[in-house]
Amino acid sequence: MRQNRRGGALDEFEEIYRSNVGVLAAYFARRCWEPQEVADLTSETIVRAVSSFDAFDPRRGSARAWLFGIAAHVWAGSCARAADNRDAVVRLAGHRALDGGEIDELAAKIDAQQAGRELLERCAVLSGNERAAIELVDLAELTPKEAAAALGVPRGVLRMRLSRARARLRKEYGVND
Amino acid sequence: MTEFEDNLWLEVVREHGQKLAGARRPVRRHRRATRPQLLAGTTVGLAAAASAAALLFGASTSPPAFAVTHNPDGTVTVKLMQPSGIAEANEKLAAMGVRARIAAQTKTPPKLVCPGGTVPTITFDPASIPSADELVIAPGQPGAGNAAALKGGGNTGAGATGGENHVVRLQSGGSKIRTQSDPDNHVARMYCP
Repeated sequence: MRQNRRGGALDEFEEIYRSNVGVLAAYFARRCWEPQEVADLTSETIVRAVSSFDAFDPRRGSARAWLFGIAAHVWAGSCARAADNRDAVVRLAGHRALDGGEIDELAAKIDAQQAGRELLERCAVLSGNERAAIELVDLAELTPKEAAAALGVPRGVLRMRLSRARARLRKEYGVND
Repeated sequence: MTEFEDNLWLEVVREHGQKLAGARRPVRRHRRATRPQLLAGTTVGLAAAASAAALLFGASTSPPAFAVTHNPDGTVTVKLMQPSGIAEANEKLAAMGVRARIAAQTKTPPKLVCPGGTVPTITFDPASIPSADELVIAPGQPGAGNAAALKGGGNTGAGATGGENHVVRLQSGGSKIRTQSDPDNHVARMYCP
């Protein structure tokens, strides 16, 4: 029943959603061990994207860059709540209890991100800005332009961070680009 | 799409579909339509740009042919001002994950106007549509005599099994209109508010 659909903000958002929800879930799967947490953070990112969809202009940057910018804020908020020990009582926007099949899917996604998680652990030697650049470009597969937009920095700055980070990783661990 | 991703999308549509449907979006086609003029500068390019501008102008000044809205109580309201809005209204219903559609009919009147200037409207609860069925909405006004045409057309509900023509009957249920599976080919009519 969904064939031959045309236009509309809902259609546009659905296209963005379907193209990016997998990589967003993977982004959180590299950070979390619990499927429910991955689900909550992914959902919160999408709900926030819905709220700010009016302000998203695809002529100024890609949808993926926009969503990863939101995801970074969502993750930062989650860390802040954890630091304040509020996570247990604060129910995030978009929270929805998972069924068994969804838990299995997200647990598999968490397992699949093991290599990415190890790379992030190795990135502990980097600054936060360098780590974010490496993850978005080398793990989330954003283009440098998209990563720069997601992080809110000029492309030249992003390239410099990437170059510096890769050089340091090569020196520390012999990690290839 | 995984089950989680599908379920999350359904949740987004259910909770935020109305807000998304009404989101203001930049006009993406405008820049593309004018690009031939900028790149080529030919007469053809200018004509194409002028046509596109005329289309955009026409679209922005034409009265809406339909409206599909999610209500705070979970019901969905469909309004149909012009028969030309049927296809797009159905597309929007599908995009919202609502198993309902307006049946296009040859007897649909060219203008759908109720007394007092209101438009044919129907409000229903999508959650009450049985999972194997689809709500079929007759676009005519009460008494327009379209039910026979719909019956004869054999409106099979999406997902119905056994080859039966199976749509749903509306029943009053408090402030909401409830649907109930029915083996007969009953349809839901739009009404004049």
